[in-house]
Amino acid sequence: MNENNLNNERNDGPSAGTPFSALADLRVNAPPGFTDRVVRSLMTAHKAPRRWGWPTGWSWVAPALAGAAVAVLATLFFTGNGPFRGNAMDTVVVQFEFHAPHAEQVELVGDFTAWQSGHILLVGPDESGHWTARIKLPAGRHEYLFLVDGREWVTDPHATARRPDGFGNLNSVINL
Amino acid sequence: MNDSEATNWVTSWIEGSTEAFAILVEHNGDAVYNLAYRMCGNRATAEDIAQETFIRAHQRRHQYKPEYALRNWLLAICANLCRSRYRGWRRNKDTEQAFAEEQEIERNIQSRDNGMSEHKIALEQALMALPETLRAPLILQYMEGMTIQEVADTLHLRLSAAKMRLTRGRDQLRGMLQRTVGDRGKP
Repeated sequence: MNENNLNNERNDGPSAGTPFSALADLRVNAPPGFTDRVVRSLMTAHKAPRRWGWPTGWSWVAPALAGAAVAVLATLFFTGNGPFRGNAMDTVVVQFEFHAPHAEQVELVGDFTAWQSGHILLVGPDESGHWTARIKLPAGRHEYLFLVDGREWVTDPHATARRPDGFGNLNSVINL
Repeated sequence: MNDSEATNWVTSWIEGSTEAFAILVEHNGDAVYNLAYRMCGNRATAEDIAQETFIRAHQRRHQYKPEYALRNWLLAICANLCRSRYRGWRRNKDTEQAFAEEQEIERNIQSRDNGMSEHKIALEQALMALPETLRAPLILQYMEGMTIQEVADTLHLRLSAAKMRLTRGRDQLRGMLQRTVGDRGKP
């Protein structure tokens, strides 16, 4: 590689025989067994193992204390005492609407469902072809999409804001 | 695999076939792993990112648009994950420093193991010394053979921004290589 060669690269893309085309030789391959490991991790992700049964040793202490803490906080919350008084946990009732007169099913999926489908189904369509869902969401900023007939992800055309999801699509954004 | 077979596999994968998913990983694993490795410089982290790329792609497979090349879509997810990790490392300066040192040691070992020529080692070192924003476009164009438009789409950039980053990346790479050549020429 000499200095003259370094100045020969075209600006509009890779060309053979230039120093930058040698970058292709630096390409590294996935290690052996990579595919198997990815498939196994997918299976693990699908079948999140749950261990049932009574805990042994002292491993029950932390969950028990956590459970007790949750019970106390829930009591304070539902009786309107303690730090939650008058706060109503900052949840907001929101009505989502989507126009899809020919759809057979419309779901609402977002960060509040951990982007998992099957949790919030919209009701409809009504005579005007609208689907609706009325749900409670924690105050703050949320991203969501409508999933039409289980396969088409649609950004809410009435969303106040949209944000790239990093996968080439736009998520709808709602600020509560 | 011809186009029609590829389309069938993609359709089966979107419908949830694990066998089709395995074929998809087999066919695109090298490209995804290469991008992850060249962005982070560490084999273990690269495998971790590459694996996460495929899991995320599978979870969001219904969002895949067939008019978009599948490999490019996967590389977009991978680039995004690399950016997130990079942001995480930058938040912690100590971790960033330790990570940079680890990268350099690993690169040196890898280069020696592969019996790479001095020129290629210099090129690799220069590439890895580039800022992440300039390195990614060069990797996609020169290692994956993408057009400038594809680079722009994959990195969610405007065409003009992609062109600018490629030009700057090449300029900086050229500068570093010239300095290396110059240093070697000194008595």
